[in-house]
Amino acid sequence: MATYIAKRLGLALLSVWGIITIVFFMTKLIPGDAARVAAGRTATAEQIAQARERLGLDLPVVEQYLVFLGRALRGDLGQSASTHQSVVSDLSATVPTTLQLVVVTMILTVIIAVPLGAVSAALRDRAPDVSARILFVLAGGVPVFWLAILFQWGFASTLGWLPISGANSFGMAPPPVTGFTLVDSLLAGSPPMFADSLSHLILPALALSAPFMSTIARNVRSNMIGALDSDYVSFAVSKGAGPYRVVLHHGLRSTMGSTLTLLGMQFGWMMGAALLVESVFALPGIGTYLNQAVLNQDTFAVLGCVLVIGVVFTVASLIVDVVQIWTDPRVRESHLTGARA
Amino acid sequence: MRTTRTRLATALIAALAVGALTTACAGGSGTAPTTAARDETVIIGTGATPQTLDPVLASDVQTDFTVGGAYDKLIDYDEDGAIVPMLATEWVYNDDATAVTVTLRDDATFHSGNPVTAADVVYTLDRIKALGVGVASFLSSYASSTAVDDTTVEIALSGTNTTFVGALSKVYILDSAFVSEHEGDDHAQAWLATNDAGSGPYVITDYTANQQATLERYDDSWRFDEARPASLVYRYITESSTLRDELKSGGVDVATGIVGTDLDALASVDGLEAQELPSPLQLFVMMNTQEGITADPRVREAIKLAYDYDGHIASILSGRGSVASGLVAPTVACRVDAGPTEQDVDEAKALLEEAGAVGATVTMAYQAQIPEHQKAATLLQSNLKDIGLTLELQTVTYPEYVAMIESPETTPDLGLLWDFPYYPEIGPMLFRVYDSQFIGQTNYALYSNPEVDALLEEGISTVDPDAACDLFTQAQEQILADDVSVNVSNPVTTIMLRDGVGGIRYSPTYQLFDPTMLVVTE
Repeated sequence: MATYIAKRLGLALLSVWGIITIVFFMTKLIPGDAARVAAGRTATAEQIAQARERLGLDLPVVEQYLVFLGRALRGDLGQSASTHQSVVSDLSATVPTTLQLVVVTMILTVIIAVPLGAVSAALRDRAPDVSARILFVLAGGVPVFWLAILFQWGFASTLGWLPISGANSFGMAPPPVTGFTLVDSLLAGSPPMFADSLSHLILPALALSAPFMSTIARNVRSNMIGALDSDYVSFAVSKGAGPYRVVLHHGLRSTMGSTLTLLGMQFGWMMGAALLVESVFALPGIGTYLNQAVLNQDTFAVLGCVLVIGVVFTVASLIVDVVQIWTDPRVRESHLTGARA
Repeated sequence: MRTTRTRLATALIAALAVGALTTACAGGSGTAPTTAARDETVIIGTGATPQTLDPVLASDVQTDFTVGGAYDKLIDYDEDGAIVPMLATEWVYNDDATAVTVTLRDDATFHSGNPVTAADVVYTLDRIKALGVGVASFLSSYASSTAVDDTTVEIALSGTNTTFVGALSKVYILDSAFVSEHEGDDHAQAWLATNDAGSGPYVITDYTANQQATLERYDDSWRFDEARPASLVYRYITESSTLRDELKSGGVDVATGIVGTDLDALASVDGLEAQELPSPLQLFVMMNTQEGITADPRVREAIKLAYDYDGHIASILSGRGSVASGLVAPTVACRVDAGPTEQDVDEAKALLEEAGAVGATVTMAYQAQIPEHQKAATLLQSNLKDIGLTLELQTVTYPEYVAMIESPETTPDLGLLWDFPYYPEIGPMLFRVYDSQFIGQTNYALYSNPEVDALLEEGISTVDPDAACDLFTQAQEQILADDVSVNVSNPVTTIMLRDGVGGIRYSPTYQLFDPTMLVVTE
């Protein structure tokens, strides 16, 4: 097991290095000059040269890459050309917002999509199933950005059930400790602040979760239909197993492996997709930061964001793999045998 | 089996409902920790999101708009474009305008309690020069400065420059003693990115990048006014529809950046008022004067005559703006008003035919993320098709565009962009955009006319303001005659205000408005 995890960690590091390398050279191929952005729109040639030197952009590209890698290994991701702060500092201010949003999105995805997929499978080809399948297609096909605006207009502006935008209501922001407003409000010992923080996350999380819910629900439905049609379920029913036991113990349980794998991958995808709702709901997350960085050709900021998203993606995949090995003997056998070979 | 499935589905739906209910919570939207009550606070919703609060980057409208309340400048401009005192009570050029002596008021204090002195002015100017970014581009003629005593500063320039004092309207004075404690190896850039070291009427008490800033009124300010709100909260919201809904719901009190249809939707909402301010912005189509078919002045004139200016104002700006009638917005003094250009398709066709360019293709770089640009690009494409030109559109970011104009070979035939004078002096902007020494930098059209160069360079170094204006007028007339650009529009800045908030008026050094003007009227 330890060998397997070590091997997976090695592969994860290799993947992150590969992503960074590709993105670094891609940013160099895009026309634009980060030094000009740093110096300002009306900067003179001398001032642009000064900014280029300070940012290390006067070095040959390969040397810039090696310098960046060397610094990254020491935890220094360079200085942003637009904020003039260290990228690590910028990321530490933005990543908690997105991580928190993604975690809430993940929870909503699980508590809505898994039961929905199970209901759909249990009532196969009947009206609820047909309705649910239409819903899956819509949720999977509707652009997240548009859905976010629709939710905002419907549930916040028109009905007034939830906040329109922002991370907290006036006077309800907890003292910043971790940057995660939910955690900070708990640390402040304030349930109203916690409720307020959570209420600001529901609509963005619902909008962000739509395409992911669709995938999970369809996966649960198709796997569960397969399981409910299997001989071992027929045998269990003939032995007198009740409907709850049949569906929850035999049907739903059999879908858990693939659902967990999907969720693991979705965690990383959600980090990347968060931009689509962050701008609508005015949340200061990594998506907003990355968008600004791309518009300003802010190489180090772009690389920092890619690094964070890449690390989250690979760590989530690794955790899923480990959990599956731990919980499913068939997967354990297959992986560990493979690992020994 | 059907009964079993139905019971099961009921149970699962119940579970689903419970799950959904656990997430339901109370509503309300908004902002930051502040000691002021909501009715003493004005919340400004704006898409002008600063990347940093360091005032050295106040050349960016986003940074300028947020930090403007927290810092003082030496001078400012009034709404008529005249220089007025702020921290400086007096400023005197020497005979050849190569040095300026500035006298400071003696009753200003920083938020730290330190007095504002000449040493702070010297520190601020030297820091800007050392960093060479942002507002440094307005002070390129700054050589050095000396604190003669606590209230007198002597500034030496690298050459004659009669517009230097105007550039000081973009310089926010720092508390040198306080900033020095956080100097680091970056001239305190990292520290000032999130902290305040000013003497303005507000203190920045809380800041979350890309989300919000909270400013509390500084009651020891030399320009204290109790009509100002006790607290200003900036909420950074980039989506126009979100701003619209926040304004309707009371989540913000003042909003900038709401676009056409959303403004229309707010027109009938009780308790809200739209205030339109003149803007220094102008939309241009800069034409490559050196390469391709646009090097031919007849083609440039044809393109200028082909555009549907009235359609632009009516459809794209929904009437919120006017057709441009010169090289800069009407808010700038000493400007030549050539009258709004009118569409003349027949004349445009004739010119194009005369130039032998019918059927040709031109490319235009534009920033699709800006709604006015995106719509104007499509309109121009349609208009040029009517006269026999094919327009290929190329989406770029601003950094990509400025990289393209670094050489004639990569400069597109046309470039659609906004530009504006950062302070209401016409000379520096004309110099930056039309003098040939800025080709490859900010001379977007690669325009080179020795006669214009001579006029601009003489104008910048002429001490007598009337004589300088005469030279700039001649330069403008020549540039307009050369059809260097299509001067498209001057959009107005529309500010949405809730009843009970007022005080906003045009301020030439702000692209939006001066936040220190806001007052609570109820």
